[in-house]
Parts: sequence; C-alpha cells; structure tokens
Amino acid sequence: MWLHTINPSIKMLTTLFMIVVLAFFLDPFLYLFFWFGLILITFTLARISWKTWALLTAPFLFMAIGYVWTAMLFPNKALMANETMLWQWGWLSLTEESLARSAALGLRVILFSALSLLFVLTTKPTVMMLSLMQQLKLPSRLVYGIMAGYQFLPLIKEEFHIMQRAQQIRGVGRPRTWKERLSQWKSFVIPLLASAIRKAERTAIAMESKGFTGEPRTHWYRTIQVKRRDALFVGLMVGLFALSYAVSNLIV
Amino acid sequence: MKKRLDHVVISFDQVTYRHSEELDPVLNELSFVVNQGDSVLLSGPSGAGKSTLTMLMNGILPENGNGVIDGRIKWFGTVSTNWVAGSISKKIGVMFQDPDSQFCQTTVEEEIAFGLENLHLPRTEMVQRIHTSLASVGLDGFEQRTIHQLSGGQKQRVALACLLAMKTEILLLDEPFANIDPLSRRELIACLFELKQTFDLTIIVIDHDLHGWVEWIDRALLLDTDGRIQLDKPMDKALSDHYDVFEELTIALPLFIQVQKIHGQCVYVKEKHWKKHASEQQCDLLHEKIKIKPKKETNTPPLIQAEALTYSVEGKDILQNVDLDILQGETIAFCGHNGAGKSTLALLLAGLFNRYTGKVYLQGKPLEHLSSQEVRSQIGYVFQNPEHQFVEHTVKEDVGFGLKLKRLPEEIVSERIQSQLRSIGLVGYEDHHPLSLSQGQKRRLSVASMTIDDQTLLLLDEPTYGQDAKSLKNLVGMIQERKQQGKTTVMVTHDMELVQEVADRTLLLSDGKKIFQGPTSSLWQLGEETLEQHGLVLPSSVKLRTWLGGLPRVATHH
Repeated sequence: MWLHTINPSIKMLTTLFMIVVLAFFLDPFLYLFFWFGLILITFTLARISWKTWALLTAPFLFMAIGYVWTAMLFPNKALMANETMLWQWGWLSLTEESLARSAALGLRVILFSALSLLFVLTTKPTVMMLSLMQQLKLPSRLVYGIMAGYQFLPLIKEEFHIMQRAQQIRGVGRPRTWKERLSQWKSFVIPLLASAIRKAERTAIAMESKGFTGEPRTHWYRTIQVKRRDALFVGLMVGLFALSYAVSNLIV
Repeated sequence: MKKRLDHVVISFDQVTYRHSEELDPVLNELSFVVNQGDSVLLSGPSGAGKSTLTMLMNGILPENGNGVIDGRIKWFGTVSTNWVAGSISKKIGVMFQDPDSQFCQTTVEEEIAFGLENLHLPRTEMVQRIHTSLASVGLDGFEQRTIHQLSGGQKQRVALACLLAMKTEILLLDEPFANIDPLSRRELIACLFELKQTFDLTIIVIDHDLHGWVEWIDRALLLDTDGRIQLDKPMDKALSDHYDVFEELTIALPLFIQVQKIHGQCVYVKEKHWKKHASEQQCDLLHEKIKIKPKKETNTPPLIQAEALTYSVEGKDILQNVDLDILQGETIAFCGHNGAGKSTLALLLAGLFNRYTGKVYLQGKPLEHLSSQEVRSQIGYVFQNPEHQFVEHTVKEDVGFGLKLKRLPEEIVSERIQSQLRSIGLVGYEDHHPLSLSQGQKRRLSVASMTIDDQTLLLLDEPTYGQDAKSLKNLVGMIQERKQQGKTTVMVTHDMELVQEVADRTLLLSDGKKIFQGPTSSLWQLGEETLEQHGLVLPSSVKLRTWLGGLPRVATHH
C-alpha cells in the first residue's frame, strides 16, 4: 500500500519534523484534529491490522490518562490566578485553561504515539537501513553492523530458551523472588555474552572475507529511490497540520 | 590430474604466528605452496591452529588480529604486504563451520548481493550472477527465502553460492559440513567437486574427518599440536607411506582406508578402485573390524514407556501419537531429519514439558506424578552445546551442583567430585571456569555433571557436535561403559557410524511421527532409499559388509 512505499528516510524525517513542530503548540483542538486526520491516513493508506495498532497504542493511552490526571490534580497555581474558574472543592480547583492544558498534554502523548506507529508499522527494517545509507549517507560500516546484529536477535532468543531449559533440567528451580530472578539472570549473562561476542567475531570475519572493507558502494543491488510520492507524503502531512491549525483557530 | 606447477596461488615461507596473549606460537615455521587447481586437505588435531592458518591464508590475519607474524606469505606471486587491505578477500573466498554466523543479511539474494556490491559490479551483472550461482548449487528459486528459516545444509549451499557469485577461484572451507546431516554432507561434497571441475577452482579443505573428502582430495597437509607441518604429500602417498602420522594426529579415516594400513602397500583413495584390488588380508581385516559384536538379548523390564504421546506448540504438532519403550540397560538412538521432533521427544522424556497428551511411564510410574527432584535423580540430559548447561563458575562447583542440591555431607560431595574429575581427566582444572576449557573437555564436563548422581538414564543431544576423533573415541568408551554397568543411554544423533557402533535399537522419527523402532540392524534393512528420505545414509561399515558378503572368495574363506 501507499504508505509502505514511501522512502523510509523521508518518512522518518517528516515524522520527526512533525513531532518537533507539534511540540510548540499546546492546543487540544489542534491535536485532536491532527490525530483524526492521522488515523484516517493510517487506516486508508496503509495495511495495518487494527489489533496490532490498538495493542501498541494501549500503553500510551495509559500514559496519557496519567498525564491528564496529574496535570488536573496538581496544576501550576501561578498560572491560574487570572483564569476562569470552572469548579472548586477544598484545595482542588480546575480552571477552563488548566483543563485545556491537561487535555492537550494527554492528547500530545497519544498523537506522538500515532505518528511513531505510522512510521514503525509501515517501514521494513532492511529497507530503512538501505535508505539510511543511500539517502542520508550514513557510513556502511555502521549500518551493515546494525543489520548483522539484527540477524542475531532470533539466535540469542533461541539460545536463551535453551539455557532456561538446561537450568531447569539441572535442577535450578524457577526463580520465585526478585533476588533469585536477578541471580539467575546473572548466570545467563556471561555465557550469552560470551557466545554473542564469538558470533559477532565470526560474522565480522565472514563479512570481511566477502570483501567488505567499509568503502562506499558504487552500485546497489536494491536501490531505494526518492519519488514524487515522497513529496506528496510531506505535502500531506504539512497540509494536515495547516488544516488542523486553521480549524482549531476557527473554533476557539 | 594435470598439474600446473608454474602457477602458484598461495605460498608460505617460514611463517610463524603467535597470538599476542600467548607465549607459544600457534603456527610454527610453515612453508608450503598451493598451486592453481589443487585440492588440498589441511588437517590436524584440535588446537593445531587450523583456523588461524585459514585466516592467514585469506588475509584476515594478521591485519584484524593482534598477533605477531614472522616469515613471508605470497598471493599470486606478490608479497602479502603489497596487497591493498581487504583486496585479497575478493579473490580467496571462505566458507565457515557455523552455518548461522556467516550471514549478515535477511534473505538469500541480499546475502549474495552483499558480496557483489563489495566488488562494485553493476546491478544487471549482480542479478545474473545471483541467478546462476543459485542454480549451480541446486537452489533455483530460493532468491527471496529467509536464510534463518533454511536447514543447515541449505544454509551451507547459500554460503557456497555467495562464493561462486563472487567468482573467487580459491575456496577455503573451514570444516564446512561438520554440523549438518550425513546425506547433505555427501551431496554437498559431490556438488563442490563438480563445481571445481566446471570452474577450475582451487580448493583448500580444513577438516579432521576425512569421510567423504578422501576420494576427491589430491594432497594432504597435516599439522601437529605445535602448529608444525608434519606431512605435505599427495593423498595416496601420504596414506600409504605415513599412515601412522594420520593415526597419531587423531584424524578420522574411512573404514576402507583403515583396512589398507598394512605397510608397504599402495593405498587406493577411491573406494571403488580399492574394491577391485582388495587383498584377502585386507578383507579379513575388514571382516574383523565390522564383525557384529554379539549383542546380549535385552529382556530387561522397560525403563520408560510412552503411549500415544502428542505434543504441540502453538497449534502445531511437534510429536504425533508416538508410542515407544526404552528398556533398562540398552542404548537407543533417535534419528530423523532436522525438525523431526527428536530433541523435543528427548526433552519431554526428561520431564521438561508437561502439557502433552498421552502417557509416559518412568519405571511403571506416570511421569506427571513424579516430582522434578525424583525425575532428575533418574534422568540426566546433556545438551548439544555443553556451554548452555553450565550453572556454576568453577569446574569443581559445576560437577558437584547436583549433589549440593541434595544437601549431602561436605566430605562425600568433595570425594565424589574428585573421583568424577579423575574419570574424565580434569584433575587440576578444579578452579577453572567451565567456559575456558577446550571443546572436548567441555563435553566431558557436561556429561560428568549430569551423571554425578548415578542417573540410570542419560539423554545425549547430538553428542558428536564439534568433537574431534579423540573426543569421539572417549564418548564411545563412555557409552559402552554405561552399557556394561547396566545403565541406559539415549542419543539424538545424525552420526550413523556412532549409531551402528553403540546403539542397540533405533527410533526413527519423521515430522513428529514414529516411522520405525527396532534393532539397529533392522533400521539398515529399510534400504538406502528410505533412509535418504529421512536425511540418513547407510554407514559405510554396513555397506562394506554387504559388499563383503557378496564376495565369493570371502564366503569360501570363512
């Protein structure tokens, strides 16, 4: 789908740029409209399962609720002097403006999570790495190192499971307290590290024996291009921002 | 084969190499020459510096290590120091032992392209080379496959395709087929030498096991434990004149070579040639070697019985309706292709998984009614890679861990530890870290730690993994000793010679289903074709017995 084919570097930079720009405002309506637009884009222009998206958003939602709660309970008293009081009970007080600030803080968390997910869920790591080298000219030594490390993750996970089984068979009981858990982790760390270092060494040797020296490449097997649609994507995001800004100003 | 002595590709002149953290050099005054089109076998016991030599030959060392080198290495007639850093790696390709850690990309085509990009080739050339190289290793249409999901044999084929695509004329193979099933090993060696013919490759193989290689290799270059060259001769000459050197350096030789050791005779390195010229004396010797040791009837009660065992993970059946029995005192082998469920079955019998359906009885008692402590005092399990199962930081404590859990008195524990260490030859290593031992020592330690409590059943997962001929001998001895003591051993293995040598019975699994359980000799009667379907091959001793049985003169002789 369309969003999956956007150049990863452009997608990443646009997302980061939007986050920085949005951070300058603390406007719940702006955030809300932008968020609606973003959701619309996410679920029409990308193939993302609702479930995954909701599951990944859930922790941010909790965080947002926490933000709103604390911001409402412990507002900045100095700011509230000349504001319209909405509601007061004992030492608790809520002004119109402080309500807006709290809501904006919460929405900001949710909005930023939606922006990040839009990027993360539509970008393949390999393509991202290639784009980092081809568009952003990151050194290949670094990027191929990261890619090789990425291949290790499933291997290390597998090894961890084997070691868990081995310890179980040898009669190391399942850890019950945090202290036991910590000491079991410690006994895993050394052999896991030792084998990871050995694997890394072997992979480095293997890469080098395939003629890898870290010099820049002249030809790519897989070229990651920058196309018209990438400009369209930037336009879409900036347009969405402008629209949300206009609408929120209209309302207030 | 035609020799072009004028075309030297690699030459070593008095090369000595020492790792900076060690006092003794790993390689000592090596002088040898590799010519274009050669196929050389580089062999020696573990610790002889074979891998270091590999890395010196393709220029990874001394550049990327912190060792000290003396002497002169030349590639294509030019001294190594005159080559631009990294440029020789593009001419000399290496294939490594571990199929997992030699890849840095996700898919097959990306991996091959990685090497081609290093050569700065245009894209159309890359596409074409990827296609043809995959075709020549028998992996057509594998371009988009994820490497991580391939089998060990397929991974090594991909590694070979990477080298072919780069058109490296010299291939260094560092024990490339040590960890894959016997059928893949045989097929890969055949594929390799077919390619050698087609592309006129120079091949240098590093291996301590000559099975499968000996028929293809022209020259043997043997190193001893001091890293000195003991022998550098054509293969047939080396075997006929210096057989004892091979034995001394614990290099594993095929059976038909072993029986030709009678001194002064010329050795045939091709099995079919030998069969034509085999002398009566040799046939007798062979007969002696492969004589079936009378196996005592095992009428002992079953130690383990399983009925309709089914085990699934995430809806996928790993084991399906498996019935089996393991008798007290027998040695039994679990065989089958990769992913057939052998290791899962062994782990399940060791009481590790409890969400299975069906019944498992240990000495007549249902396994699920036994506490893990009770199971552990009866069953030991040794993992494929011994490193995974060490739980303590010193050898002494690791061996005694099982006893410590039982809270036995101090004196008894330390006495048992000492006797256990004596029996595996690790006295003096009490305070070493288990990870600092050699491969063979680690294997022995892992077995010792698992059997210190006198467990009646020992499960061994791929015990031959990463072991040289000497450690293998130790292992066979250990299993046979257990048999004499009336103890039971189960091994999960690909090594058909080991199965033939020690297993009383065999269990063959395929996709989680039991195909066969019975005496090992009956397994061979399933026939070569059936065995190959399961990634297995007939052990050469069994093949030679059939051949011997078909010989008229032997029949009359006995």
